[in-house]
Amino acid sequence: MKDFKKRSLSLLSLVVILFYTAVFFLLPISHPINNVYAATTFSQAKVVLSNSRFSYKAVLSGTHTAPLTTATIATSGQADNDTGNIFPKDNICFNTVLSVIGCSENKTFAVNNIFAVSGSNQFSFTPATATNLAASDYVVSTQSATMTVTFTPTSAVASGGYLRVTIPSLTSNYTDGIPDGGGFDANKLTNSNINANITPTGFTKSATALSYSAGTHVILMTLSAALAAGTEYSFVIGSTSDSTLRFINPAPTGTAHVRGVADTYSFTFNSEDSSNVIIDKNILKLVPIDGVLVSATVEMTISYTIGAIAATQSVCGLTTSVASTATTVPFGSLASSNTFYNLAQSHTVTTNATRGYSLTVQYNGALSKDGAGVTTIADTTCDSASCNTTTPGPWLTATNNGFGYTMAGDDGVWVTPTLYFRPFPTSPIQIMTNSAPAASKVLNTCYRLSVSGTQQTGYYFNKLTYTITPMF
Amino acid sequence: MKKILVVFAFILAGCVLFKASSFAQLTGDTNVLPLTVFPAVQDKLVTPGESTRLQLQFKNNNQMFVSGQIKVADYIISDKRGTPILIEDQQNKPKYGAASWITPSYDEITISPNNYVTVDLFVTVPNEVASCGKYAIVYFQPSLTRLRGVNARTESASAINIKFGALVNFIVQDKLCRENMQILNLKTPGFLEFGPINTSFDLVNMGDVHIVPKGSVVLTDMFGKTVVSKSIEEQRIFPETAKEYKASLGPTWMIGRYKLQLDTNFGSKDFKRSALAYIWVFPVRSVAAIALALIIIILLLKNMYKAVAKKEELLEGELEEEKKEIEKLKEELRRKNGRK
Repeated sequence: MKDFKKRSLSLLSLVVILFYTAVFFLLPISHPINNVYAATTFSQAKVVLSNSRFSYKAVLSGTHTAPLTTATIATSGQADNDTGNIFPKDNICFNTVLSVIGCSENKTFAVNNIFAVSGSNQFSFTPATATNLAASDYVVSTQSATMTVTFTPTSAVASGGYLRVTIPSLTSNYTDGIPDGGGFDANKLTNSNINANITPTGFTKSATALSYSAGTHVILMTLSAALAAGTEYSFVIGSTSDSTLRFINPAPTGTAHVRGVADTYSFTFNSEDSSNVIIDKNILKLVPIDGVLVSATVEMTISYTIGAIAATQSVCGLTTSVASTATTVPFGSLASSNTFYNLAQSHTVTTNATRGYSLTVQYNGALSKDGAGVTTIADTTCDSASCNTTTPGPWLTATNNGFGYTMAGDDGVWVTPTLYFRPFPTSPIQIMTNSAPAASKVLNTCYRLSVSGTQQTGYYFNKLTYTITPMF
Repeated sequence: MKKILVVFAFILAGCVLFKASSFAQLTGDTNVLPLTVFPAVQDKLVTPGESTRLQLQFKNNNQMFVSGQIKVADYIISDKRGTPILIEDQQNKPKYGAASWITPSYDEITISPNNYVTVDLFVTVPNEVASCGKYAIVYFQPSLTRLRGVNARTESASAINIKFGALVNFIVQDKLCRENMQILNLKTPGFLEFGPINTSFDLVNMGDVHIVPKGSVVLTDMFGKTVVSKSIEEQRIFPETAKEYKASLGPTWMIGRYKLQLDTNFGSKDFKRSALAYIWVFPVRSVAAIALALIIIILLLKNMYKAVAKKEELLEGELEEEKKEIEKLKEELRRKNGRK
């Protein structure tokens, strides 16, 4: 009897265990229960900004009376207290009253240059302001970006389900188009245009809603096809062509931002079923930071080479009789009267100066005996007295004695006709110029001397001065 | 004794080496003197009473040492192209000269082969400054004797002196600058047969600081439609001087009255200046040639038509004659057949 009781109890226990086992395994299949999930995280989920630079938001220091092309900003108490996050070519907007949407004069100004003077931060801009600006008027430069969310669901989401993105914002003025220190401004994104400005990849959506509330913007996408578990999807928030249809990046949080230190923002991203029960959920982090200006300056340079030309060279339409050096034009012993002695030098100029360069020449007086300026070799007047210090003339007859020069090559003020000479002046006169950047321009200056048979013997010399400068 | 000899030998060798190295400075290529200066132009904002510093670098691109002096001079601009003219005569110190503000760190420098020397320019701005724009040129003047070396000859010659300069322009802030500009000599042809329309004008800086005017020349047709718009070249204009601008606008074939409008803006407060001119463009000779050709063609066609018509009339007459003859022959035939 005892055995029978024992066996019955064991059998009953076995039946009970089998019953509950069957219930445990079979119940979910035969009776699926919607709306009951243990929410998991996405296999992977991330958000990337196309431009992670902080927006700029400062205030003016003192009254700025129009017209003006320079602004000075306050150095404390604001999201931006210096000019560290605005750069040349940025567009800036002066906003007189923060609650008023839009910029002063309804226009933006382009930043020209950033400079610091006497401890206050200044920058220049163009065009000039037409209206006065008051102290504490805002200076803003918005940075907007498309946000690309990439995710891989851990659990499948059926068609009719949702994707929900919660973006942090301020508790007020979060759709005014002015950057906010502490949240993303929706700018011109609204419930009516958000669907057109979200581009999905790998999945389809039938609708998108955008709702604002103090502290958050919420985007809710309705799926028109299921999302599979383990498959990567992505979507882009914001227009790729119209920057006003994107969220505006925040200005730095607080009033004592340290340049180079990022702020961190948390986005909530959920997948939900058609009853808004969360399936997968992640907190995504966004980290806007200050921009870094990368710049390089190409220095404006001028390179000039004066060079010698050897004897018996053919330059300027004549043949040189004696070699020159870089610093002398040595005619040597003038053994023959009424004979041309020809020498030449070269001038090579390279410059990247925008307005080019100028090479002038002058002398300290006619070639004179021992440099005393008393007994001289006269300056040439060319054939038939046809030239002077400004007008060249032909000089082909050696009995027309004197000292003069001609030129041939690049950028000369006159290079034709050949064998046209003129005397040197005592004031500088331009001989070579270019009003644009120039590379390896070479001009030859050719000197000619002829003395009469009655020229007093002796050592004659003078000094020529070449001056090379950039053009103004 | 040996020790003395050894010491003497060392001293002698040292002297020889020293001498050799001294000559080495002069044995480079005297046939060229290549130099570079940068920055070639500097614009500097200053305030009255300020002391500041600028830098210039002179590079010697030769294989020999180059020595010379660093000098500062005022400069003026007297042409419409912006050619700086050095003024070193302090008796005639120009109104906009800033040479007296600048003290170079060196009066004389020696630049080793393929190397450069940086020269600091110490700038002291006076408390009282007469004008907003002040201008100077800092130049390097190589020493001639050093370059010519030991082989320099005493013979009839012209010595070459070089002044290799960079412009230093100052704009004095915190002072009421006089900024003014005029458009002068806007030259356009009153009538043209063909485009493009060539125009020139002068922008005259009437202020006391240099300006860099911006703007455009716009050509519109008689219906107000813009034919072409060209930006003017941005260039500095020295105080109390002018710069000439040139532009060529429009295509070859143009007809009608065109308006040429020049709009410029300049200065720290974006002042504006404008000028306009009207030009008639009509290809008289081309139109006359086309009209003449048309008249000739019309006359030729008319003559041809007349000739054809006349020929047709003759042919019709001949046909009528033929018809009459046929009728006559038919009649004769009928009569002959009647008799039979």
